[in-house]
Amino acid sequence: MPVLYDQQGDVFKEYRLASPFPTGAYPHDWIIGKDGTIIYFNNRFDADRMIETLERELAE
Amino acid sequence: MKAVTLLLLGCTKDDPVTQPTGDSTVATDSGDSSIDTAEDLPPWQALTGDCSAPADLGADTLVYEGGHQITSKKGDGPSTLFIELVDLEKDGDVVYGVGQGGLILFDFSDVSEVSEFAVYPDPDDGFPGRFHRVEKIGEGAVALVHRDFELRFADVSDPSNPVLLRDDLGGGREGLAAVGDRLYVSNRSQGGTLEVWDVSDLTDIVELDSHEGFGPNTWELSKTDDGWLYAADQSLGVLPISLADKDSPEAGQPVGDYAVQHIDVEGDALYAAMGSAGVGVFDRSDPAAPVLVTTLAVAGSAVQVAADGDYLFAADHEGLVAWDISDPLSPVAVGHQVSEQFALAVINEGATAWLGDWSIAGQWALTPGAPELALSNDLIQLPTDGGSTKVSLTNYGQGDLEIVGATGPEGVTLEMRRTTLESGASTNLQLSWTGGELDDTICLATNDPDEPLREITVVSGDNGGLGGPAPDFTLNDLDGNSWRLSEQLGHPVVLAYFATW
Repeated sequence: MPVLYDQQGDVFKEYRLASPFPTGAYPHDWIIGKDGTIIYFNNRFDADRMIETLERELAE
Repeated sequence: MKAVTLLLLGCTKDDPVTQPTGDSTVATDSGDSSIDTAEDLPPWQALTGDCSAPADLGADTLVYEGGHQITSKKGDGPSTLFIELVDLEKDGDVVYGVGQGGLILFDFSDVSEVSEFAVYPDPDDGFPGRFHRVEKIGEGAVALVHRDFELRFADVSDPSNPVLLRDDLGGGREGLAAVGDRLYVSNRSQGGTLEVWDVSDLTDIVELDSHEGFGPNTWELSKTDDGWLYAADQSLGVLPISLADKDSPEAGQPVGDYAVQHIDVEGDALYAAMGSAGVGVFDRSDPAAPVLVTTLAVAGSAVQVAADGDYLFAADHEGLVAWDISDPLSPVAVGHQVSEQFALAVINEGATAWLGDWSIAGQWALTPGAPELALSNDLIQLPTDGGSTKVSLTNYGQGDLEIVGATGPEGVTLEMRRTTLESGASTNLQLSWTGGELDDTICLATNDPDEPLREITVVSGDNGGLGGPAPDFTLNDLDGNSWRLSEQLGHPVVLAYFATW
């Protein structure tokens, strides 16, 4: 599993803008769909919803 | 062919990431914060007036009285700078802090001129890494734990010259609680053990036993005066531990499915720092089976709590949050203040709190009565072709918060359903944008005495949010390999953003 170092925080800042609730607190989870669109965002870890989102995306 | 790519994106606090206030209690992808959406609420009304602070604002709720910014660089090289105060203890006028650099002892005898007694171990003997917990273990002594390397005991009766009493090498330890002549140490290795140490004779500190079957991911232990410990466990939640036999602690049933980082107990109330989920308030009238009564929202991520007398404080990364707990199971928000750096640790004595704010140890005084505005965010993107979004406003203070005026750039309409918020209440500011290029600020004027004029930056853009295109990026992993998001097209990608503290 790749661990990427966002040294300047640029990616976080850009995704913060792209979030419906662009909060500053960590952690943040996003899921990007197969076509490159954002299909999930949460600032809490919600395994059930993430799995559901991924299964739905993989089934399509 | 892999089906899903999981990318962990991380930063450290040294990174210049803006840390705005955030409504991190909202966990939804609906695009609506669910605040002020009931049909019986007042209609949206356009905000008018200018952006001028009221003339008579009164006293602020939380005031920084003084402290010490650690600036001295010890030894050679930048890595020896003492930072990241992650735990505090206090003994009279001496405040102990641990973090990157070991133990630091502050002299708070004069809050207007706080200074360092000493850093321990002596930085000139080498950088010790990050110590995580500090606990008083008797007159003039402390226990320190380093998650990766050791448990250490030091004589700090002369705070200018700490002396090693004993160290015991071994990683996995984290939580500390001294109860009488025993020190309990949680150890995450081997599935979660609880060590019992005899600290009755500081010249002969010995480990008595190590018991299995405790929290596998315990970050801290909190003691009570009625024979219980509570483990703050990231996996189990709140784990009650009976000390009916002080040398044979017994783990009870964990309570709740919460990632708990820190606990403090005041009487029959237990307060748990639960990260972005806020602060959990538990009724522990049955000490073996605490019951979650309510959860208190914080703007950031609650990492430590401190309860004493009538007041509860939380360090939430963003700053300091305070509640009146004169009714212990029904806390009332009385103060919120964004701190200078990054709030990680807090202790209190009644209405006075000491905050570990990255590299600042500061003393704060609470004066209940004033309103305190927290914004869910201070940076908003609006679609280039027009649209609307919402910012939530919460009153963390005690007095009524009044929105007395607002101004924004041309083309941006500002609306609220109500402009008076009682203590603890939230409402939305709705921003509507006609479209075009935008890079400006909105000004809100309130009667919050600390910061009566607040700015929200608004920019146009089309990153899209949910359903929109994910911003592309290229980052290196820890092995130096380059990863570009757009190269992952064709299968879902999970991005998990975290930071290293």
